[in-house]
Amino acid sequence: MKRILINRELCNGCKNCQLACIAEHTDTKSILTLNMEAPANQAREFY
Amino acid sequence: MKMCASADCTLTDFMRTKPEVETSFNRVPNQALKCGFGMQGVCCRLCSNGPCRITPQSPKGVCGATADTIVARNFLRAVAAGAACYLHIVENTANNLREIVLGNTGLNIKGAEVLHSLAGLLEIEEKEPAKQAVKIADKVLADLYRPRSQVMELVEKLTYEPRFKRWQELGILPGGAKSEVFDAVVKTSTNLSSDPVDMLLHALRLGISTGLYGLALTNLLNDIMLGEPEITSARVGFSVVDPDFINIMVTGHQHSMISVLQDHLVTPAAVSLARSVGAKGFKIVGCTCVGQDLQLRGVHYQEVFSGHAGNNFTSEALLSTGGIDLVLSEFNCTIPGLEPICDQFLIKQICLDDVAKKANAEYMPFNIKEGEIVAEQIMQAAVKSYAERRNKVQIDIPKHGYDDVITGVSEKSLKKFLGGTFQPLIDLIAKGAIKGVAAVVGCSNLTAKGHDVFTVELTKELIKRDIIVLSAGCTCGGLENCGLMSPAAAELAGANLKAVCRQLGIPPVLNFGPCLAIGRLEIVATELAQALNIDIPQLPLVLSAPQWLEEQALADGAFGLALGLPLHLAIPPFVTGSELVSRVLTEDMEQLTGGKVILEGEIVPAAEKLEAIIDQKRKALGI
Repeated sequence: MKRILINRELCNGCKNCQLACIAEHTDTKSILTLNMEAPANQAREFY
Repeated sequence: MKMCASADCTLTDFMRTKPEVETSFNRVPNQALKCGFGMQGVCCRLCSNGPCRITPQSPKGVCGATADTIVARNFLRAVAAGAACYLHIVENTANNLREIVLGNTGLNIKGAEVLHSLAGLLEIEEKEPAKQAVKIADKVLADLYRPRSQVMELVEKLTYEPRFKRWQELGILPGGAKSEVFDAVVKTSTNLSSDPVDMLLHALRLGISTGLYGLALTNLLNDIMLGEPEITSARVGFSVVDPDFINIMVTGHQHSMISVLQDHLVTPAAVSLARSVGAKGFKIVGCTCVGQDLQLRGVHYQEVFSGHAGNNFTSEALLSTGGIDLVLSEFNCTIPGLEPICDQFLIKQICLDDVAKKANAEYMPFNIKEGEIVAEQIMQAAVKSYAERRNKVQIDIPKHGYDDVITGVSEKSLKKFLGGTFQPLIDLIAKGAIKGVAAVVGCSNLTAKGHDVFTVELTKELIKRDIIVLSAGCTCGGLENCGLMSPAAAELAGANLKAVCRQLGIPPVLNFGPCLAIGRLEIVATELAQALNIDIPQLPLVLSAPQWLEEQALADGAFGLALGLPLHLAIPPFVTGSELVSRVLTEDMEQLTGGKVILEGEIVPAAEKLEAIIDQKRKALGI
C-alpha cells in the first residue's frame, strides 16, 4: 500500500494530502470529482 | 467529543453534559489544520486560471498579480463586505425612525433629548421633533445613497476637526457610503486594480463610513427610537432563562426590529395568551449583539427582557438548555450551527431580514409599518412552539452567569455618572490613578487560545496594569459571563485602579454593549481629546480586537486606524503574505493617520505592548 508520510514541521495545512488520499480510494481517482460531503470519503491519516 | 477551550468554564462543563449536541466547540478540532495560503491571504480565485497560490517558487499568479495585489484585494473585499453589513443596519434603522415619526407604526420615540442634540449637531433647522427626526433620517439616507464622487455631508459634522482635516489631507473622505462599497467590489474584481496602497486607502474610506454611519449614527438613531442607555445592574448568563415563561431568543444587530415585539409581548392580551398554554408570560432572552443592545437599554424594557445570556458562540449551548421556544434572528451573528440544534430541541426559527435567512427558518419580511402584524405572528408562533415542545424536551438550565453586571454605559450615561463632564476621568488619568484606557472590543472567536480566552486574559492583564478597559461587542458577552463586569472584579485590578473602582462602586471593565457601541467609544475618545485640545492619536488610548471574527470587525478596525488608534489583533487579518501590505498596516500607517496594527498572538506580550504605547503617549503629554 502506498503511504503519504507527513512531516508536521513542514505542513502548511493545505489538506491536499487528504484530498490525494481520498481520491486514491475512489474509482475515478480524481480530485476534481470528489464528493467532499460524503462521509465515506475519509482520508486515511495517521499522525 | 473533543472541544475547544473557553474562558467560561461553566459553559464548557455544561456542554460536556450534552454529548448529543454538536456545537462549534466540537468542530474546532476538525478544522484545526489551517491552510497556509489562506492564512497569509495569498490565494486568489478571481478567475478560471486559478485558484493561484503564491510561493517563493511561484511568486505571481497566472495573470501576473503579485502577493501584494492579491493580499490587498482580498483585504479590501473583506472590509467592503463588513462595511456593507453595518451600512445595511443603519439604512434599516434610519428607515424605521422615519416611519415611526411619520406616525405610520403606532410607536412613539423614547429619546427626545438625544433627538434634540443630534438635530443640533447636524444643524437641522426644524423645531418640531417629528420633523427634526424625519430630516435626520433623510440626511442619513441621502448620504448613504450619494454617488462616490460626492463627499457625504454629515462626515464633517460628526468628526472631530483635527481628524477631519487629516482625512481631507489624505484624500480619504468617503463619498456615498454604498457607492464606496460598490466600487471596492469593482476595484477588487478580476484584472482591475493592482495597486495595494490605493486599495488600503479605500479600506480607510470604508472604515470611516462604517464608523460614523454604521456605528455612531445607528446608536444615536436607536437611542431616539428606543430610549437612551442608563447605568444599572443586570443579570447575565444562562440563569436569565426562566422556564416558566415562553422564551424567545434574539440574535442579530437591528434592535429597532425587535422593539415592536418588545412592546407587543407585555400587553394584557399577550400575557393572557401565554397563560392559556400554562406559561406566566413571554420573555426575550438576549444573545449576540442585539441582546447586548437590549441589555444596554434594559431600564426601558424590564418587564419583557430577561437578560443577556451570552455571545455568538454561546448561542448553541443556550439552545441546548431546552428553555428556548423560538429563535428570532434579524442579522448576524446567527451561526448556521444553530439550525440542527433547533431541529433537535424542536425550536421554531423565524428570520426578519432575508440577509440572515436561515435554511430551516420561516422568513417573515419585516416592515415596521406592519410591525404589529409581524409581532403578533411571532407571538403566535412562540405560543405554538411552547405548547408543542415543552412536554417533549428536557429542560436543563445550569447556574451560570452573574446577577450584578454593570450595564447601560454610553458616552452620555458615563459622563452623567462622572458629574456631567469627563474631567474627573481626565484628572484620574493625569494623576496616574488610571494609567490609560484600552478599548477591548469586537467579536469572540474560538481560535485565539479558545472561546473568549484571549479577551478575558488580556483584559485581566490590562486592569492589573491600572489600565481601565472599555468594551463593546461580543467581547462584553464573554467578559460579563466571566465576572469582569461585576464590581467585585475590582479586586483583579492594580492597586490604583482598584481604589478608583472601589470608591465609585464600578468594575474595572465598562460595558458599552454591542459592537455598534464602538461608535460610542469613538465619541468618548473625541470628547476626551476635545477637552485636552489634542488630536485622538495623542490620547493614552489603545484599541484591541483580540478575538476578531468576521468581516465587520475588519471594517471596525479600519475605522480605528482612520481615527489614528493603535489596534491590536491576536490573529492577523490574512495579510501576512504581503510584506508591503503588512508594513503599511503595522508601520507606515502611523505616518498617515497616527494608527497602526499590532499583531501579537500571546497574551502577556500583547498587554506589555499596549502598556508601552500608553506609557509613551503619557510621556508625550507630559503626564
